[in-house]
Amino acid sequence: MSNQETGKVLSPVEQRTALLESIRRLRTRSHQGLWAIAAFACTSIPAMLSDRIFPPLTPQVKKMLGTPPSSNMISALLVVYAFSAILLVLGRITNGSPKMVSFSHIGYLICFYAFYFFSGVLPENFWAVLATGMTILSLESYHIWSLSMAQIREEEETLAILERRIGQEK
Amino acid sequence: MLQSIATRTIVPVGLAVTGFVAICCLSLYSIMKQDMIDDAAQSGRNIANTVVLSTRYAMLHNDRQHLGSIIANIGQHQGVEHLRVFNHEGFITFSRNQTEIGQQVNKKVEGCSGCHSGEKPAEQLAAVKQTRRFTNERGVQVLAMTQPIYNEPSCSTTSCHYHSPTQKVLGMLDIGLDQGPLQNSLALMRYRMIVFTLMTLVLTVGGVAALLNRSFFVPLKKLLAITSDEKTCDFEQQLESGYGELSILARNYQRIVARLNDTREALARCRNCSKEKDGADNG
Repeated sequence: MSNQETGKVLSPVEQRTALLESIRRLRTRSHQGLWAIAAFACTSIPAMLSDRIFPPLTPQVKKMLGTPPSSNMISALLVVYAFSAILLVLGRITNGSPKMVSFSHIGYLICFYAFYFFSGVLPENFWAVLATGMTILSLESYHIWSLSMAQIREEEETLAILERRIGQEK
Repeated sequence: MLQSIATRTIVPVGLAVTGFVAICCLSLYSIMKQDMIDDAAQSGRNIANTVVLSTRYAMLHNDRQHLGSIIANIGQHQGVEHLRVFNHEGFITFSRNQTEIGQQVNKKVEGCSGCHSGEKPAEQLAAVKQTRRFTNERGVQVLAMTQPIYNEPSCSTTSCHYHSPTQKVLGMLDIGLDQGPLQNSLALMRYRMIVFTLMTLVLTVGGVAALLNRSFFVPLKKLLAITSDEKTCDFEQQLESGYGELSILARNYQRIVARLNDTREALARCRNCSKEKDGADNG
């Protein structure tokens, strides 16, 4: 085993340290999906209490923003977005791709909350956005966790072989 | 258990199907709810318009007793929470509730602010702004409509009393309808959609899981049991032939193990022969 940056061949002890560090990084990465779910839950709380927290829009602000899209149009867009996002996540699960886009989805979902709020129909459609976010982020979280666990198992097998070799050399 | 093939197969599919069905049902419910509320509001506006047209003759002839009687009779109809007529200054002149007569309404409350939010009151009110929903002091959810009573040429020419021709709006009719039946319909619709969603999820996710279990996971467990010990290939313990590729895999594995055992036996026999031969040569 050699260091990818310098090309220098690593000693067994250095390899062991590198493997342990890699396992630690993979364990941290495996929990990133849960952080995304927690972040989305935090953004959903003010959305749920929007009619109590945020003041109603003044006529000047409404005039500046213009006519909002109809709630039916926003709902249709939400269903299309959910369908596309779920398909993409399932595709990544099938391919074993390590790409993670959880935090981007939080941005998109906040936009849906904003659109519904400016249209004045957020209380009626809050649960639909919440269900969308939880579904997509749960799938992403499961995918990252599953992939990280598989990589951790491989690293641990390599580590076991290395430790047997270190034991034999001693 | 979390790393098993069963979990890795069923969990993502179950999550995706459950989530998407829930999203579609929630969106559909909110769309249908809004449509039902819009229909109820339109029905309420029609009722308000009917009341205004019904009281036109009485207003033209300043027959206050007749007008009050019409308001009282319509106000007694089941589902009508409040029915009142304001004059131009905002004072209640006719009402189902006699104690309200003479009171002045606040122009800043919802229902009045649609026209009175600017410096000059608006002369036309959009249909959407005519409607408002609130919970009254009795805890009843009310859908209220505000119908302007516009000035007409005959209103400023009759002999009993007249309004100035420049006055656009003579007063307002405010009617509030109990949303109880609408809420009951929405609750029933919600209950039916939940039942349908649950049935759909049980059929899809449960059906896929059951079929996968029968076709793949059960024979896979049997295959694991058969292949657990490679040295003793028990030909009595075979995987049934009805499991497609897994049955073929099991038979191939048993053939490989049988050949391996034959090879080991042949090797053992050769070693014994060579030992006997060495022993005979030495003896």
